[in-house]
Amino acid sequence: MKKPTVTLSAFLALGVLSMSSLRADYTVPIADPPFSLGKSIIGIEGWEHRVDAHKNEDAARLARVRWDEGRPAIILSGASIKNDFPKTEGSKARVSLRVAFLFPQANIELQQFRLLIGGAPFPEIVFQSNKDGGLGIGDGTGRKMDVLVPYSEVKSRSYYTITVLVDYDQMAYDVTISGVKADGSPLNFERKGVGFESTNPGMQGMAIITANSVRSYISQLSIESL
Amino acid sequence: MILLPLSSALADYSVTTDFPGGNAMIEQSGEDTIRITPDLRDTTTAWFYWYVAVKGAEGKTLHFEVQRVAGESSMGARGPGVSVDGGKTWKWLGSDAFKEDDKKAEFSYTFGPQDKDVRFSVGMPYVPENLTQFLSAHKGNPFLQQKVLTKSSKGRDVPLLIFSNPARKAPYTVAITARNHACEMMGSYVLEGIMEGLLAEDAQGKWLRDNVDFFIVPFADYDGVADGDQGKNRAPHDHNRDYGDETIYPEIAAIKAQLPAWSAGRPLVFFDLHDPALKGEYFETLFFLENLNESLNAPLERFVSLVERDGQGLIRVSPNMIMKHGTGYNKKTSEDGPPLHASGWAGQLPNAILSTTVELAYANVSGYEVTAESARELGRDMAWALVPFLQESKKP
Repeated sequence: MKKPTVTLSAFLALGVLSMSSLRADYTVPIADPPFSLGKSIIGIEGWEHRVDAHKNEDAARLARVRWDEGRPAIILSGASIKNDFPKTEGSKARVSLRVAFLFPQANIELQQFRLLIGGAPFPEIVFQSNKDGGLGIGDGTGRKMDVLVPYSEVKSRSYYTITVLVDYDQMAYDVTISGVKADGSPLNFERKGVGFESTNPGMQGMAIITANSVRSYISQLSIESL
Repeated sequence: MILLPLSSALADYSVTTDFPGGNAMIEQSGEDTIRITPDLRDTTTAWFYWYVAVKGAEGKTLHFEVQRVAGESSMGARGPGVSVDGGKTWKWLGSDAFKEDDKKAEFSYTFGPQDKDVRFSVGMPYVPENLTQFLSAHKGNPFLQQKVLTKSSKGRDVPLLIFSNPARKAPYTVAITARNHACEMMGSYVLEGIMEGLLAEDAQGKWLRDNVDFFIVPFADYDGVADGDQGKNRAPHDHNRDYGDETIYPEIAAIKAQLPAWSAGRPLVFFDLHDPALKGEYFETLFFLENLNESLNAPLERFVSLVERDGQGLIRVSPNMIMKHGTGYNKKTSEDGPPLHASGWAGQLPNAILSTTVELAYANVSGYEVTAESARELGRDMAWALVPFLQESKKP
């Protein structure tokens, strides 16, 4: 039996985004460009508003990124969206995300990017732009986080590739983050073997919540059963 | 203590203002302390522009005291701008690199072995040479026509840039003026960004070149920029109070005569690029000022919302950056008579569909750092936003 995989991969393709979406247990036409440049991603490839009262069509749009050589990305601002992808299977799963943030240097509270994944042993990937924040793993409440890259080292408008590999047999996950530090030097963070307890392996469904004041760019996002 | 207005030979190094944009009253205070006071010249109120070069100080550490003028600070939020390449590129020395009391701001600088000519300023000066450098990168571009707007009061050729497809007349027009106040240099970087945007080989640039003609006056007070004047509140009035009935400056007279004729009734967007005062609630942010012509308020809201939506620059724009009438320093009303300032005048033109003054802080926009790069990026964002704005506007 094939294992389910959700892959959202934005790449340049003659004015439209091509998205390869590999799901062994259901079909997404890979050749179709489900997103359109300059348009909302809502209603496409499983993306929905997370809260009916918070329907901002401009909050999650596809655009070419000027400072990333014109490559497309989903640009999020004041977004509250979800995608109910099917549950991952098997003993391992991997979440991978290429993300950048535009944020002010002022120390202001509640400027967050949150990627929540249902059932994950790491409840959310968080960027919090204040002196106690940074890039890291949150507890799912948006209030507490384990800072992996301190705020002072995060470069505004620069991509970070975050990968979390979950091993349900070993009951542990590895986190890697690569990119560039605020001073321009390379960033290669790695934390291996973070233990967890879970009686229900697998991840299902995700939500992205972003503050108005933090503009987020996602150029790649995948959740794979391995 | 003697104030030396232009150049002061000091021991084995010199502090000068004898170059385009230079401005300061300079005095030596002790062996390695330089005292700088902004030279107001014909400006009638306290103002803060200064720009000096220190030459021959390699290996030294010098201390600078920048005097307040009538109690007003002459130092921005991120300290002085510093250039080690003759004013081509700039960096802020940093908000932690200076201290300030009610009389002066102080900072020290250690000159490296290669630092033969280091420039210091309240901002990041942009003079005609910077524009020449920008334009040289686009030499031969058929879309760009370099013209002379008029002769300045001092006999200089004032540049006018026309961006237009020579093969056809575009349905829309955009006019941009900068440096109606000579010292407000950060707006010039925004202008560079707009020009980069309309020359870019992306979808937005191509659409702009196909659909819009641009009329750009990079230095409305050309003499002031070249000579390093404050420009602001100049006697008897400054260039941005010269758009009324009694125009005295040739650049403004030329704009008033040529722009309406050039646009020829086509829909017109007008931007006048400025920087505000240095510090404080209204001055450490970005504002788009509502026009005296109220019918242009809704288009301004839409334009700013598009900059917010589509912007990708280093400075985040938001709709609360519209300065509405009756707030802040946007308090002129129709009862005050015909508008005297550039965007007010342009807003009265019958074909105006948007006219605003853009006020970009010198160093700090709500926590975002203003630099030449981030200001250019703001310009790129404004150019991008023009595309959906004009596409949505009524077809001419």
